Amino acid sequence: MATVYLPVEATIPGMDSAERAEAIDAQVWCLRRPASLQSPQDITKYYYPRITHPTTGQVAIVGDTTEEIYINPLVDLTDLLALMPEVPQAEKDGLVAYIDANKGGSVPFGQLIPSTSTQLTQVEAEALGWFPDPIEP
Amino acid sequence: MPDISELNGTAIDNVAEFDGLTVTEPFTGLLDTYTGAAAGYSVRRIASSATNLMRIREDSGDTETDIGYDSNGDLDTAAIASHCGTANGYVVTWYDQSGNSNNATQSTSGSQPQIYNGTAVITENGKPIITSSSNAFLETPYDGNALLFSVSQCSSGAVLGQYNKLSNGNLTSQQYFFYGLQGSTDANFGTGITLNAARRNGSAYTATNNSGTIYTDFNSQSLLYLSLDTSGLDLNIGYRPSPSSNPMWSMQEFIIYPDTSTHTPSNIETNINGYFSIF
Repeated sequence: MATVYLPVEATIPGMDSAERAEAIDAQVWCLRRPASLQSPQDITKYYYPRITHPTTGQVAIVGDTTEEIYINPLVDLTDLLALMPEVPQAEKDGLVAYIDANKGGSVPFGQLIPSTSTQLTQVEAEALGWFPDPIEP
Repeated sequence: MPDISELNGTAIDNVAEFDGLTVTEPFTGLLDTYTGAAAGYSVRRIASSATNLMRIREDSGDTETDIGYDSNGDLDTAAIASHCGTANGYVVTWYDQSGNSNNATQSTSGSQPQIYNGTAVITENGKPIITSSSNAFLETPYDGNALLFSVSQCSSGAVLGQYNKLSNGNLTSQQYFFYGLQGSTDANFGTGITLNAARRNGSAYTATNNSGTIYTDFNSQSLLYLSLDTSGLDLNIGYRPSPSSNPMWSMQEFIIYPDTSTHTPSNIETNINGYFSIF
């Protein structure tokens, strides 16, 4: 297990960090259970936990770079790609090809993180003030 | 209006069968007897109005379904096994049986506690138990001071509950309570919590602010009563994501009364222990 903290920037007009993080997290879940398969009664909508920086209010997705994410054969990447306006088109094309090649199988989450994303280890996140909690690890 | 307190000389309460039909006693649960609960979650039926006890997700196809209770008022474990098959089963909603719709939910797959292990429903002392080995927690809408009753079990590093708190507009987590860590001397409750009273297994309990003691005292199935004051927001069963692994206490029943409740705790404990046989 390799925990990674992914602070989400508010790069989409009309979306703050929390909203964009929530939307991305929902799309990660859709890799495994596409929206076309979800029921309106489904409670599960997100894959990974998210945390909020106590000072800045920025939200980070708490992922696991080695965790295998199942890619449903019915996956649709349209909405996920729309949440990555800062990612170069060539990289997006590569992601699409990678997902297509692994439909019905699984891929490590680390392979899905864009190059434009900030990735923090636990030590780095702690140093940046993400964890003021009194409960010690 | 004719008097039907007796049927052919037999008191109506003693009539088991009428015209070949079995007469069923109306169900009376803990929350019917001790009214005014803000929320009640359990692996048994505790209210006459309850229909479903929880909603679960199996981790093969990720389909969800509601789970009710059997003819004994116990969680329908056969339905869980039928839905999950060889997949693991996780709790997405622990339904509030109080009638206030204060359901305890978890919409993030990685934070859902487990009820089924791919072979059988997970149990403790013969009754189903919701458990977690990592950062599982359930969110409730309840945000007031509380009188809590829980049938639960603390694993090392686990947190019983947490009130969210806003600081500068952002969520923090200092208002956790009953954190248990084997061998530790860390604080077991956060700075925003005032613990007014505690009871363990029917007797008064002095809660030291020491997580090692909390682990020692509660790492087996226990009936815990807490009276808490807090100025925090919504109550979590368990602890929100943290840098380390803080599972929630494994849980069989969790009942919240507002601090205005005047019920005698020992009476409610008697009801709970009558079902779970803890002490």
